[in-house]
Amino acid sequence: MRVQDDRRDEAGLLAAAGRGDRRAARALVDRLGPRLMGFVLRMTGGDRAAAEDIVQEAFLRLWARSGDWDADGAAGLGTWLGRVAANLAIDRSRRRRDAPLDQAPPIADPAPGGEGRMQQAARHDAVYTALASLPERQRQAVVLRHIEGYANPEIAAMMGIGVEAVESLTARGKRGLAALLRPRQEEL
Amino acid sequence: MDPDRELLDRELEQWLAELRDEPVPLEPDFAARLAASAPAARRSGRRRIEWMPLGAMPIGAALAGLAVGLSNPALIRDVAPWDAAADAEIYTTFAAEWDDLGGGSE
Repeated sequence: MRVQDDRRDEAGLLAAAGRGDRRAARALVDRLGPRLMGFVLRMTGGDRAAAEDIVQEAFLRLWARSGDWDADGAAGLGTWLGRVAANLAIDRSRRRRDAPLDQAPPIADPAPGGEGRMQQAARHDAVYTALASLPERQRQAVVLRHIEGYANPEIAAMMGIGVEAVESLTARGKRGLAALLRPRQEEL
Repeated sequence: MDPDRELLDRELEQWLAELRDEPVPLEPDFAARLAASAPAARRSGRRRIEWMPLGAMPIGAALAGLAVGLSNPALIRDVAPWDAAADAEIYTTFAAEWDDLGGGSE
């Protein structure tokens, strides 16, 4: 029920935002924006300017649908935004084959809380850096499969490739990550 | 598979899963701009279409598109051509609302 309540709550905010309620629009941006930005940064290998373009376009498309959003439909707003953003990121990579791969995304400062938290922050940093160094399509496949939890057929549809190609990309991506992270396995 | 590699594979999946839902804060100005763009985008209800000049389109594709459009009016009703006036309204309204928020000129 909680999920359904959240969805109705978000749909109510979206409808209000469409009617010009700035506080509702801001509430939705604050609720959905940071997770979306994290996801898009992982998809773009840490390119913040590209990520902001994609997040902005995804929200523009959401606002445009504010008058006819189906609160009881299959997808919640966050899921819908994630799919739109994933497709935009994949479209962008098709247009820009020369995307830089060596930029690690900014990581939020770890909250104080001891050595465990610091180690986790170091681990996230290392995984982000390794992800950013993968070829773009391998990175996208690994992010969609192992971080966002999409099924292979869904990823195949998003990326416009076959399921076997998705399996190959994720396998090669994981091998690449393992090779990059193995030397630091003990400390992480 | 050797045990070390198997262990790393398991750890790797766990490390990747840890990144799920990890938020990255939006820049305050960017968040304000996103929120301010809502009313104008809703009013326009625009759908972005990148129109290719007919001259750059293979003639077969152009004719096929025309035939599909003429035989299925419902298809083209939903993807009206890019509307410069609607986009101008978005950006004019957005600029005014952005100024209201104290955002200044870009």
